[in-house]
Amino acid sequence: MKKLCILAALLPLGVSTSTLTAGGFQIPQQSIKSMAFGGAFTGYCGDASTAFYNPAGMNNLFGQNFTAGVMGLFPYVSLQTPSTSNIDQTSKLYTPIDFYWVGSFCNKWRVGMSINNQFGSAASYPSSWEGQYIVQSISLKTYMFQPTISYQICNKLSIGGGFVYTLGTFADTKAIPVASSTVNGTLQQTAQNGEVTVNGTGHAFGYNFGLFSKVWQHGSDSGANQCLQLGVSYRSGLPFTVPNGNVSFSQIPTSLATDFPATENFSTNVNMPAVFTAGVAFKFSCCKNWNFMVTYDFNYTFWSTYDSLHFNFSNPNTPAQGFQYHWKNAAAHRMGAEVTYLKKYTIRIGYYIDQTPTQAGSPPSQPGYISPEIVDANSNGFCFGAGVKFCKHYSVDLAYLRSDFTTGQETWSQEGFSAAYHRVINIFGIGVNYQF
Amino acid sequence: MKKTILYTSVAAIALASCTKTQFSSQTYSPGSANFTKMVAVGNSLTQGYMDGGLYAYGQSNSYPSIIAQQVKLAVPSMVFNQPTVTGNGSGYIHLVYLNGQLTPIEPGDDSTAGSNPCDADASWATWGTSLQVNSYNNLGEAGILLTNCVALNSTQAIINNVLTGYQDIAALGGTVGNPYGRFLNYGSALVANPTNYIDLIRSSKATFFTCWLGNNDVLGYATSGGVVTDVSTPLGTIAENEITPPAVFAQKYDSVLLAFYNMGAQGVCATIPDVTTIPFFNTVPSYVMVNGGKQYLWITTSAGVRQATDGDYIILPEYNAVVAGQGVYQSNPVPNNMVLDATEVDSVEIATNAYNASIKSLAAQYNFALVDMHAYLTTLSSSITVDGMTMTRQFVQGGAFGLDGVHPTAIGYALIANQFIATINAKYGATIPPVAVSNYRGCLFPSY
Repeated sequence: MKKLCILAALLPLGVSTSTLTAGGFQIPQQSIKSMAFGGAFTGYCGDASTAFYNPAGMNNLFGQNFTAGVMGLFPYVSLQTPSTSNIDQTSKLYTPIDFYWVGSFCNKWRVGMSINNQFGSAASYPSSWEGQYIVQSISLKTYMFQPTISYQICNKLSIGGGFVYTLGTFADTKAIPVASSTVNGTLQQTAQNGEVTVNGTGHAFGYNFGLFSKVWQHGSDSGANQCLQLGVSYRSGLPFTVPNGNVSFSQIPTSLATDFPATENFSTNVNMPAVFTAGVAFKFSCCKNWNFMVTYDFNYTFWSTYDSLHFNFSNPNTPAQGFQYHWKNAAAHRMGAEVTYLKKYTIRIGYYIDQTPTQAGSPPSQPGYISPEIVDANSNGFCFGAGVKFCKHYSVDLAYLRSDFTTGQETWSQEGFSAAYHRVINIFGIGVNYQF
Repeated sequence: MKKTILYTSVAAIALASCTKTQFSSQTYSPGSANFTKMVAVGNSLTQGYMDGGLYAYGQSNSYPSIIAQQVKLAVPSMVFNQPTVTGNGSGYIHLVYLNGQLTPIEPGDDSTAGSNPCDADASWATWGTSLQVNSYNNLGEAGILLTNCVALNSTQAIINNVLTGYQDIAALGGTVGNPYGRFLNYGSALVANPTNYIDLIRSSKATFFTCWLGNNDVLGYATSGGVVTDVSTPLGTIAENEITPPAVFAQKYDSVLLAFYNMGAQGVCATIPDVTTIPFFNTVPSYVMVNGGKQYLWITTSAGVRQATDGDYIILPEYNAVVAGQGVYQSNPVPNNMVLDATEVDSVEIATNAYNASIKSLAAQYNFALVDMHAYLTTLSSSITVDGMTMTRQFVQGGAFGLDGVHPTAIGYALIANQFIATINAKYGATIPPVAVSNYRGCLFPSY
């Protein structure tokens, strides 16, 4: 029990959890092992994070399994607009966390728990930058809690599912182009703009479902054996309702106070997308000392539910606001491999190709929907990692991921803004596994 | 240990290079355009007139000044001088918050808050004359008509000199002319060949020009509600606020472009906006709401008093009178000079379209670039969104037009400058960057 407490102590590290790594604002790296595989895990199901990636894969685990991890995500984003050579985002380090437990109490049933941050996004800019009226800073954070069970139907097939409760927070600050003329009674030509901050908290319920099969196994006494695993998972969409968000205006000229009261409330709905994944893993060894594994996931995220955002305000003088995003469903290919020596030392490597859900104007004369709020484009990432099993109970995983893309001039037609984007992300992850 | 240090430093270097996302600084090219001497000719729009006056802030945000600032990114050695005023200059309109209402205060109106912080600067009374020795790049002169830039006979040359210059003429009873033209060396009207604006253009030595002349040839008629007044002078009768006949306009515009052509200049011509799209004509409705229904106001037209329609434009200066009830009853109609009625609107549009046809064909004839400000300002007046700011023609809150309802704000001038820049880039293969419009502001709202 004492050891459990150590794991639990890792959790508060994730106080500021949000990020941007992959298509849209989903974080496909939800454990340190999977991070080294570019996010592929649905066919592998090699540690307790399978509770998230594929609930049915929990039947692959025995005893009590705990996995916890934290990632340090360093985003570097620069923009080039037609007017300005270079603008750097001021986005900060983010530290998403994850915690998983899978417990085996009888042969055929497993129970599990998953706590993580599946969706997140954050960006901040210098407060008087060119796009200050679009965004100065924005962040979306989600905390998912997912109790999960799985059942082995027969030797080759198990099935699993979980119930997902999600808490989400949203914050957005931008400037308003109303210039004040007098500061402390003196007429100013250098005007000060108004500012608006929107904060909201919402809840959503969803589910997670998976199938897992060790479809083919072959072993020999010499230690050479092979195993082919297949997994399929589906995570439902999460329709957030933010019933009572808070809007606060500041630096508003008194003469416009009726249009922009100091505070008011708003409501909105935000849909987090469903995700379908099919994965395959092949494990093989030639002798007792060396074990190999290769895995591949196909990911399909139903981003088209993230079509638009609408804000309705409690003050009838404040006009309702709507933003069109027109995101499209997006696919990703994730693959990884690992080598284990003496069942103790492991090296991992991975790669992914991620399609963006955002829509550029195509042809360019058509409206584009590329917003500086969420800098995204088709991207790929390289990753590697290592693991060491110190004893029968403990092992530690490390992983590193890097993704880099540069876009051409992209337009957000609705806001009359265009920019080229260059984004580099480096993620460092460390995870601890405990099993007994 | 040495190996550890080596690996650590290699890793550190690798990591640092892994985090560089900055775009390299852009190089901008003037293309085939020769910006050795850029000259802007035009009227109040060109001079940087803003909020009903000529003041330092407006001038520093004039569209020629913004264009020049951007051209300098491609041609750092370029010099662009404007005849600047000091501080408030002629004085300008500002907003105060009075009894729960946004109220524009004219310069010189000191009745509200004791003293008016936007009254004319003390230097304004004598501004300009000492500047005549200098050669400026911005030759914009508020109030000037194209028809008064070029003379077709010697009498016109004298009239033009009197109207666009500024001088004391005993025969006319004292000081006459245009105070906004005082920085230009017009000389005297009472000489053999008095200087006209076209002469100043000819001696400008421009290698590149922007020309946005001609707005006042129709705007004066429109803002005076289509009322033309005959003024008798020792030089004959002058029809004040008359629309310049399109044939005369074409002939004189040709003279201006020929002058630039003869000096080998390159340049951009701008078309004349549809004046009925500006807030000056679109703020006071032609009706009042009575029991939820529209009751159209009574207006005075040259054909008599009648009820207004949606095709009649009551002008901004009539605002307070309409609020006070003028026009509700036939016995107290909106005066003729406060409404541009539908017939007059037709005259304005016919002339504007004819002017623009001439501007387009002449620009093409001399192979100058053309920026269609008529089309752009029509779009701007309905709605345009740039850098997250949405501009409309709504008075004050619309963002692009200032407190006189006619002239742009700094945002408006920045948008206009970007249209010129895009045209220059397209015509001369230049890559002058547009200005970031979000760095400019609209009307100033009182306090917070």
